[in-house]
Amino acid sequence: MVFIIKEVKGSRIYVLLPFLMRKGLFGLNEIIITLFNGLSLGSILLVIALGLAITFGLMNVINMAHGELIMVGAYITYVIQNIFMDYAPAAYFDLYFIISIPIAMLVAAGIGMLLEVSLIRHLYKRPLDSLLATWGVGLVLQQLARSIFGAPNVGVKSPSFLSGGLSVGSITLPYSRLFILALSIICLISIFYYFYRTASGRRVRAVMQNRQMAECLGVSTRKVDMLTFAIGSGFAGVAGCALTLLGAIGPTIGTSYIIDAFMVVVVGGVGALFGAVAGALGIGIFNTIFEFFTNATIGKVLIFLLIIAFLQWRPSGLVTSRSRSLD
Amino acid sequence: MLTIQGVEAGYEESMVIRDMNIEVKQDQVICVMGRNGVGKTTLLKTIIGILQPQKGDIYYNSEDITRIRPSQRAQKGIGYVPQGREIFPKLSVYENLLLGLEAGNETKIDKKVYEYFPILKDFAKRNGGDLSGGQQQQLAIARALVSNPSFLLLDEPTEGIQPNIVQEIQDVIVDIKNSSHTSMILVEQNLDFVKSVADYLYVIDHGSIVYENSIDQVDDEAVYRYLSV
Repeated sequence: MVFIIKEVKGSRIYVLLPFLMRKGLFGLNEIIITLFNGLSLGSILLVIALGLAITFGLMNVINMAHGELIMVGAYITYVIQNIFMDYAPAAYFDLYFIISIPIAMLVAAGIGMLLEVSLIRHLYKRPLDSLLATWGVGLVLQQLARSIFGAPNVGVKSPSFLSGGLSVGSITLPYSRLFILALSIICLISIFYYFYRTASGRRVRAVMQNRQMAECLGVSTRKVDMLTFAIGSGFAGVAGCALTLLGAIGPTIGTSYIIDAFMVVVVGGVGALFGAVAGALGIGIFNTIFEFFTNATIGKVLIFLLIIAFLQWRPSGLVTSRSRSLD
Repeated sequence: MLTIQGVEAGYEESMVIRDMNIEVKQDQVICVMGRNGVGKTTLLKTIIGILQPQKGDIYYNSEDITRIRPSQRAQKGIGYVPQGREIFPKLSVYENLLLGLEAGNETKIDKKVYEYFPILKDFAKRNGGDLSGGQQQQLAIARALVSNPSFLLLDEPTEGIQPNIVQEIQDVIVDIKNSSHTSMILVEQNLDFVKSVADYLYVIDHGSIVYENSIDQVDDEAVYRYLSV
């Protein structure tokens, strides 16, 4: 995880910084870049954590295979890229990435649904068992990826429309980062729309608040559980797709990100979707600032220390939900 | 309409109700009385399906519903107003009502519900959890009514509520009885109200029916004997 995050934004800062200092542009640009990098890291964390905010945050299922669902999304992108390379005319090659997103989402959602029906459903009241069982599933999926695609990392060629960057004055904001930022916003809006504006989302919220009563009103809680878990898993697939823009992918790509994802959800507040946003942006920006003053490793240590201290102060996270207790 | 035959139910090892036999006919209002802890709530939970009976059968419209899930029972037209209201605290009042439609008989919230409880229209956007106890009770009843149930289970709907709202809720229950074909099982502690609304009365003690009679023949003395502590 440390390596990938470092690769993600460390390189850019440290390449840009001496350059800027030499140019004598240390003031405003530096701040803009740090902010942008923080925002960008935050949006990456958010994309990774959104699915988990649903399965862990809302459903309280500790799904250790969530990282492997991210990996599935990444490999789906890789496979679709290869299909396009072999069969599609070169002019249409870039389309592979656009097509990958929904397919990765559907495949990951399908695997999640299968996982829920066959395994997690039977372990809702046994969190420790579900933790162990899903960890096992994660290992199986990793090995499966190793058997199919081989142990070494594979590369996904970013589509041409995402190479290069947007020049603002003397700084360049990479399109791939801007794309992930936009993707995180789109994912967020669609999740909020789904949960707060649709009948299906309303059922999910009702079941998460009072399962028994929802059932008594005619809501099939089994279907709702299955669907909710599938949606959370689907967003893991989208995250995997986005991660292919940031570097090579391998069978253990999920393990490197899953801790960050859990961190975001716990800091944000379990059960609060909005908390995940605050958690992701908070961790992203602080991490970037710490790295700016130290280096990638120390920055990571500092952010973990900050999180530990923060959780001492607010054990239930940034956004805690309170309402008048039912009497 | 609803037949409970030799039902035995409870929590894990301890059986709370034993050999329960209850018969509810179309349009009938059945009242269940009894001291605290004798099994009234357990009985309603068994009818809606939260609890699985260890023995016995439950028939609804001569169909065996003993083994089906609560959601399916709700879809067959059984409405449930639990003790303690069980409002969804972080859903708005309006969303709480919309969830009442999940049973699937209706697609829109009947205006009549707002006529019964005007406060629910005024507070439509508030969170259910921010309402007072009495308002939550009104919401719980309204939520059960929006699906136009043919059978209604009401668990102490006036318990612990300020007197003027108690009156309002009682008026609504009487109106449902008079103006619709909804059958009811009503758990209630107030014998005067029971007499004004019920057709038939059961008194439960220690998990079994100890007294039952048609309401016009009820012997107050006998009932009070089982209700007094």
